[in-house]
Amino acid sequence: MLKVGFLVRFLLLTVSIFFSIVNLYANDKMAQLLNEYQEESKLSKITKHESAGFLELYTRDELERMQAHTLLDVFKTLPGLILTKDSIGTNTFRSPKMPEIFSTAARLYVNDHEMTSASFGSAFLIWGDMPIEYIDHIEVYKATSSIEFGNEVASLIIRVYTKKAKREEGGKLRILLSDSGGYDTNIYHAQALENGLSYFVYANKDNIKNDTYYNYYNTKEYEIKNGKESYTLFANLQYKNWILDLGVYSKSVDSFTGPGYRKTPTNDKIISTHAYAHLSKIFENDIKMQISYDNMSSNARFKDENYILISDPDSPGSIIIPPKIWAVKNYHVKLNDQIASVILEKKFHWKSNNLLIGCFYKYKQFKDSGQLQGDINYRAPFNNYYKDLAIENSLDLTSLYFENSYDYDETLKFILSMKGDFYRYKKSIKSQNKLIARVGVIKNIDKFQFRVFASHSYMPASFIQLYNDYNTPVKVDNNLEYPTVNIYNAAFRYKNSNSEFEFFINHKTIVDGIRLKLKEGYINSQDTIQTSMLGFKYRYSFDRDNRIYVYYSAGRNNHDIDQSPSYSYAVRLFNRYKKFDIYNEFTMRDSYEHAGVEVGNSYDYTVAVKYSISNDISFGVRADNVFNTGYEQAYPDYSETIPVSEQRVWLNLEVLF
Amino acid sequence: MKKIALIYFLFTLSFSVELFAFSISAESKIYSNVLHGLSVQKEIKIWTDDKSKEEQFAKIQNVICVEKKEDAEILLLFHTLNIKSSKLIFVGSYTLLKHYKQEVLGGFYWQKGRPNLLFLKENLEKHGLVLPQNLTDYIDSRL
Repeated sequence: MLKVGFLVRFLLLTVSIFFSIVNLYANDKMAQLLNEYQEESKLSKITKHESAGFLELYTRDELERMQAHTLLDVFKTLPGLILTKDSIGTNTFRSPKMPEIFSTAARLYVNDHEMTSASFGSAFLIWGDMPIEYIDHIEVYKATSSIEFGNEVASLIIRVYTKKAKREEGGKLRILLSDSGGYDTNIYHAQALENGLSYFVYANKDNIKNDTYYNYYNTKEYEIKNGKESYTLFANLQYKNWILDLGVYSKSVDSFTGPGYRKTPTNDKIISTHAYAHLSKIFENDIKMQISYDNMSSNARFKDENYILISDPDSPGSIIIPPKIWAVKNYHVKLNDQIASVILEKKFHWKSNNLLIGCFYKYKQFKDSGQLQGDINYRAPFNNYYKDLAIENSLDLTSLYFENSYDYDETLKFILSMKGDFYRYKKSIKSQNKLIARVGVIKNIDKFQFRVFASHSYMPASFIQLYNDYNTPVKVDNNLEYPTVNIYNAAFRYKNSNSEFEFFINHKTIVDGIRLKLKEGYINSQDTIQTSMLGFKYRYSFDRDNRIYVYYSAGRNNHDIDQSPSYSYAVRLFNRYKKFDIYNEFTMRDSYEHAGVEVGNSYDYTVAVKYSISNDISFGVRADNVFNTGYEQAYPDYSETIPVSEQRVWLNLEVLF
Repeated sequence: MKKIALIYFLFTLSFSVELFAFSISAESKIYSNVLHGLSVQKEIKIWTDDKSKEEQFAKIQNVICVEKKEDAEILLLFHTLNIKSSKLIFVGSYTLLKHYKQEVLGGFYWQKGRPNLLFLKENLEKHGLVLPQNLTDYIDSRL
């Protein structure tokens, strides 16, 4: 009897366990399941390479909740890097304590297309503030060797991925209005057609009105402006395994303080346009082919009635101007690049080995023309100084590379990658053969991960540093050595289902760094620069809708260079309450001194609140640098500091259709 | 007796855990709800034109992937246009949902950057289908 009673109770217990689990399975609410599916299908899960460097990932959900509308809204939150603005208004980065990073050290990709200019070796002059409504997610790889991405060398890689037609199937209109009277508006539409073709098309127009600052000289007031007016067009066409990207970004910006000796600009403008086409095909045998073409131009007109100092080898100097230097009032330079490239890659997968081999060829043509004019002259009997410049050169760049990752067992992975780059210039510039190598180990122990990487790399010089027959307005050196960079990284991570903690340390040495001096022009530095950085990041998800990120990073160098903050803290908080999305961002940086100007601690608080009227319509407000105490940049020959991210309020309307 | 009870307990628990393990993917859970909502059969025979998804569907409880469309109760279409069939059709893309709007029961697809689930009222009525409570919120009379 006892046995039967026990059996009945036991049967009841086990059956109830079974049905409770089945019930749990069956009763998942569909809406929650759809949310879970959206989370597990994020495109960023397909594209990210966690072994490529210190990765900062901005998912679509995060970008939408931040109400970010340009790349600058993302850049200003990057841990370990300080978003800054140079004297002609171009946004770039500084590492802790350091001056602006070398132009070719950072590269920007839209999908697989590299946006870097051949002339100035940086994508940021044109694309640094690109509008991002057509972007799905953003990956930023710090301290990388870049071989995994199969393109030109860089230690900071920013990859932005556009939205995909098959996921959009519809359109979106977004209108932003700022308290300064500026606007940013865009529209996109996407569709997959029955014939197998899918398209995503996007257009953006903006007029960003930034604050005007003032400089005074000889009792006269000069305006320092940094407004921007631009348009962007983008199309992504996909047919079977063929993908074609077409893009144009054209903008006109004020030249900020300009290059003038006394920072007294007059209505200066830089007008730039970059148009490109990029065709990719993935074959069934894991071969990927890419062909692309770029045409970019930048037309800079600087005027400064208190003179712009230039290099001029013919100049005998004057009482107040040293020899080989002269002074002009009008400085007009026009750069034009054309780049064509072919990339071929193949992946091999074996039991424990994954091998990528690839090669690319790039042809880069560079044309530079300019006029320099001033009202004083060293060449009598002429009354006015005038020089007309026209130069042209080209580069054939060939590259071969491989990356092999070997799984010793389920917890231990070894990575080895190597790349050879061969630079051949049409005129004058010394040929260069360069090697990049990277070794790494990743060890997983339960919820812990240890990563150690060492890489030997370099930073190529750009055309404007290497070639100029006139050595005017800047002196160049055809035989400049490319700076060598050695990077050592280590990271420790603990990750569980809802939290992640990572501690990282990074050491970098730069030999033959390139410096610009007015008289000597571009030269290789004799000093070896060593920088070290450490920090941590902590992420905790309370649930799917609510999470917090905390960052800390600090850096130092071996030369007591103190041109930017040495450490920073940041907290980012994502919350959702009913139909409200709330985003809070707080960044603190310490004080520094640059160009004789003391800059105090900075505290940037940014908040964004969005209300979803329905699934398709939302309305929001984003306020940047709310208390106007955010990070400010000091400039040589200008006594004031200027906020990199201004105090600004944006109203934001988003409509899906 | 206790040994038999222990074996029974372990069997039941392992089966439950196995079922739970199969349900890890949210996509599988959604298709499980859809297929069990559309069919009253003990064993649901499906045919799909996407061979890469067959393994995933075969793991759903009481679902069998068949080789020939004729043997299936439900056709799950992801790529193929112009299939003429009296079978129940459910699609995995918005393009196909529009293409088969006269006969398709519904679709699970991406639109406006988010996943959507939709059942077409008129087509459900044509087949005399009544969906369970957890799916009724997703019935609509138009695309």
